[in-house]
Amino acid sequence: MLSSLAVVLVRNPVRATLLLILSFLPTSFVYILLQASFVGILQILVYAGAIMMLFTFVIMMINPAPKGGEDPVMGGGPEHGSNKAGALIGLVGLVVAGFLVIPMVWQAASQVSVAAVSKPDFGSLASLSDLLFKDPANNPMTVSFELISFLILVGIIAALNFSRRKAHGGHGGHGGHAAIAVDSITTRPTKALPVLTRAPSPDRK
Amino acid sequence: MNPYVISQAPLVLGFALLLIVASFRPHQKESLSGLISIVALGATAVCMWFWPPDVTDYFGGAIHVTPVGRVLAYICLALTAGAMLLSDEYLNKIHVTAVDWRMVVLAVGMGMVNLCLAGDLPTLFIAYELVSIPSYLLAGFSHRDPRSNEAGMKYLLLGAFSSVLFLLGLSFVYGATGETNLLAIHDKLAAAVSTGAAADLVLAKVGLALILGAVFFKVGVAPFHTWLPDVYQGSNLASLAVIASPVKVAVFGMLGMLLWGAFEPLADLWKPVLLCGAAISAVMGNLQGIRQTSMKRLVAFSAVVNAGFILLGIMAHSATVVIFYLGSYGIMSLGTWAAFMAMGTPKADVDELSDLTGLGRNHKWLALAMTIILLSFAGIPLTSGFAAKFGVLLEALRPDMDTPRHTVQVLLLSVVGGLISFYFYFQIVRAMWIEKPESRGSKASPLVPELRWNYVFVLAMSVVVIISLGMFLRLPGL
Repeated sequence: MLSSLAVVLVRNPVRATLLLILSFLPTSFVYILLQASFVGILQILVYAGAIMMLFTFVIMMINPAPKGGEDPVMGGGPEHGSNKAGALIGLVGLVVAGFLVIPMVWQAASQVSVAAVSKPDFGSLASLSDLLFKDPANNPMTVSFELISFLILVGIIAALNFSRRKAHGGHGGHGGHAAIAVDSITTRPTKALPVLTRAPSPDRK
Repeated sequence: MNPYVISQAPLVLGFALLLIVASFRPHQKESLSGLISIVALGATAVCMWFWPPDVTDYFGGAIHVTPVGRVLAYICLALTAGAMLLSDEYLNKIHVTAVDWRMVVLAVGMGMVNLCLAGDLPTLFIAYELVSIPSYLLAGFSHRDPRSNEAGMKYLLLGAFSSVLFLLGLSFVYGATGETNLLAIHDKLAAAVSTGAAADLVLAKVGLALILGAVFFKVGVAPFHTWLPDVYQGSNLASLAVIASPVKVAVFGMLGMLLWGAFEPLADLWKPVLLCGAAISAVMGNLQGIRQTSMKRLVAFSAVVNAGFILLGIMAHSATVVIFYLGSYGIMSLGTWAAFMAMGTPKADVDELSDLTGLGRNHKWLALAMTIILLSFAGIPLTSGFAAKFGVLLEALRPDMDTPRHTVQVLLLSVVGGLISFYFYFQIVRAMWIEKPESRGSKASPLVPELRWNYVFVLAMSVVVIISLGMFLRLPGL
């Protein structure tokens, strides 16, 4: 909880990412405590491992060039005090939402846990795969599973399209792998490569 | 092999064929990929036509076929095919790789069919995402245009937020009922209402509120509509023909089926909410629409106004009227995009109202078709827009229905709003027919429309459908 709060407050994206990994750990502990050990392990493997790895990598690769005194990677930026009213409203909203949601979740949890205990293999890998794949012709999950795979395919297509549009540059409709290579050499911001070794900018509090 | 799988196979096969086309001939002439996609959409519709009427559930209830869902799926497929037909030359013009665009649209098509037929919560949510995520992509597809990038980004961020709310709502409903099947949820909720088990219902009501908020955002009901004009203005016309026409139909249809089906026991809760949404849409959409000079933004606010009417139809619990309204709205907006595409110059799309000056003199038929579509949007008799609005009003005032308080006032407000909207539709008509090009100064150069066969075909089809629906179809109760 504290670390996820820090993720939003810290002004350094790399640190924020590392803190986000930290905040995933307790989440997975919660899953494990809820007897969903497989989901808990997945949380660490997939999120903290793969996805956050990707996040860190992307942040270091993009590393937008500093503009007018503020450095998006290493901190700085607009004045902290400028948004106090908004922060206050957000805080009040959070407290109100907490008061509304927590009792309901509590109530729901009190009902759910009874059902969970009654099944001995709840949350195990075998029961999960049974749920997803057993008897595919009559399993409600089959359709969802296939649709999700389709959705991921669309994501891949879109990613390809987005990367191809970079390669086209100003011409569109022509070009290929050679163009990609040239493009990636010429347009990468070479100035901003040494991310971690750079000293914090002096205006950071 | 069950018929549902067979009916989905053409879409998947078409997608695979497009993948092959994309990998071997990525930048060739695009008609081939267009042909493949239209055949795939058509084949799906044909397969659905031959579904055995006595089987309603596939995959243990994950797909629940209702007559309403089937009709909506047909409408969505037809509108998507129309958008596909329109896209042919236009994508070339804006330098978009057509094969990629068509694959994304086929995915939307698959999502829409499943959204109309979803029978349980996981399928519902994933179909909803299969519609939403490609829509964000479509909004940001023309990468040259910074406004398109902005539209895609805005749509992605706000839309992802609304999807999360939708998911949270669904999980609350699951928490309240312990069921994922929509029919079972209906039974549980009905039982809880009759016995007055208040504790469960609070959770379900919060879930319903979250779902309503998310879907209102998605279809652009005021006050959740602020993203709509920006996204419309930024997106290219071909993508808009998908986002603004069949996707709207599918999501509204899903909302209707969800409320009439699973959440029917909670009608006391959602009817006033829909009424509020309709009232705010009528006011905000019309008042903000009046001052627009950009054509796309104008159409966006008209979409908000129409969304209000559709909500009234959903509130009136009348599937016929809602389907009729959605079909007529879908074809009207498809026709609008076809006309806009035809009006565009080889370099840019038509955007400002003043671009249209003198169109009526130079290109009579195009201006006439556009005028008929606008008259239908405004709800002039003998057009489908009038029949749809009239049907909604009649159904909402049906004496045997227990409408919430203030229904009559909201209906009056909608009608007055409709009168206000005459003004902004007739601004376009005036620009086309009455104003002289000279009166606008040097900026007004007469348009050079490209009347390609596919634009003309879709435009003519939509005009024919609008007039024939308006003249020949008799609604129950009319």
